[in-house]
Amino acid sequence: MKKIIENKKICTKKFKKFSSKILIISTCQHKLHENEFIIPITKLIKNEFEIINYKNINQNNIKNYEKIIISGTALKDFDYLNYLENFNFIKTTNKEVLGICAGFQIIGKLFNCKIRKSQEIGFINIENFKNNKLLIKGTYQTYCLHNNSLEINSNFEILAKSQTSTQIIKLKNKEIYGILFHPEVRNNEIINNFINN
Amino acid sequence: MKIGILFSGGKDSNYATYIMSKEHEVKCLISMISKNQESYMFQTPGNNFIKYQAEALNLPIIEYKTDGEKEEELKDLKNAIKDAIKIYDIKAIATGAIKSVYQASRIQKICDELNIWCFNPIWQIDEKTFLRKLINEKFIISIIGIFSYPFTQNNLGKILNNNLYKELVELEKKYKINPAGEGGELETFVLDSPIFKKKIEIIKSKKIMDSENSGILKIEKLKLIEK
Repeated sequence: MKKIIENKKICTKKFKKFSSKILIISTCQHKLHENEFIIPITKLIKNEFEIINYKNINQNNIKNYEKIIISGTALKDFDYLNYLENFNFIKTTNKEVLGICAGFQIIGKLFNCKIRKSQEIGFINIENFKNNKLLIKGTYQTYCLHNNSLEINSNFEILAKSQTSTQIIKLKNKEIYGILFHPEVRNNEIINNFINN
Repeated sequence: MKIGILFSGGKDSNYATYIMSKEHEVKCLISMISKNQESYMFQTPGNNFIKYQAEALNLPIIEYKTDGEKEEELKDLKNAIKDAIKIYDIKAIATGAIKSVYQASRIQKICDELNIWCFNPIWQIDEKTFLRKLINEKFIISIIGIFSYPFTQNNLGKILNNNLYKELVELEKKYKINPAGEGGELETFVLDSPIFKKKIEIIKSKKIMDSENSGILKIEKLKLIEK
């Protein structure tokens, strides 16, 4: 955790000129998983950012940020599902949200998608159907680490798919995105595009 | 949580051990001894001396021999982890994986099949930041294998310090090598770390070269000394 605080300090100092403040919500039950699922995201962010844990979200700590990234977590970690009500703000927010892996599942659950079993671990090819804010049209090799995916309902537009799972979704009429794979490992431009576009 | 470390004796798994021990109970090291010099999964040159590091760390070690054939060594790894679960009641494996999706995703699958947690505390760490941390936190790390241009036998046995760091960063600029050897350019052996109770001294070793830019420092004798 010390490392994260150090990172935050550096970012606050160096990048004050950037207007868009980023909130990263960690879905990790165990702190040391943040080394694996949060720190790689922070390395890609040049803006000022702060990290909070899923257990500690409240309206006060959300209002200061323009964009929100919800992280992924370990394969065996589902504790965040016990705190879904902490994410209810997403139902009404006008802020831009990017949910990665666990964050993808959270966004789907909030808008009534069902979770279904679907294991994809390692390199998985996906097809991104059209140019969008996150990624231009094409086929991409992604890094996946999940045992579950979602049954997508009509609240969402499907932007990308692998052979077996929906991989990128967008809530219709809002800038709320879910990505099943890990863009902090491969396809880093997605995080940059989310922050800068 | 009780943790087993997938341990190769190099800088990555030693640093993972150090980080994990700050918040969890490290119960054992698990080391795959590959008979294949070009193992897909596991480092090889320092294999015979990993047990000295276990002693320096005051941790038990499960050493598991594997032929080092591509899929067979994964079965062997799974069996080694099963043993660690049985003997030490571990609930998680931690690895020193940084970049290799090949390595990390296979270990993730094994942990999933055995229903235990998987930690990769230095996953995606920036190599230069990592080398600086190792130096600042007083890890003593010897280069015991070089496997690509522009490394030569002169690099074997060198200790990671500020000068070597500068040299590696220069080589990165010039030849696009990975400064931490993550592309398989280098293998390392840790002689001391902040959690070693004793430190290791190499007493006898010899350089064995396959070609001008590929060779190992074969450790023949070492001893543990009080810190």
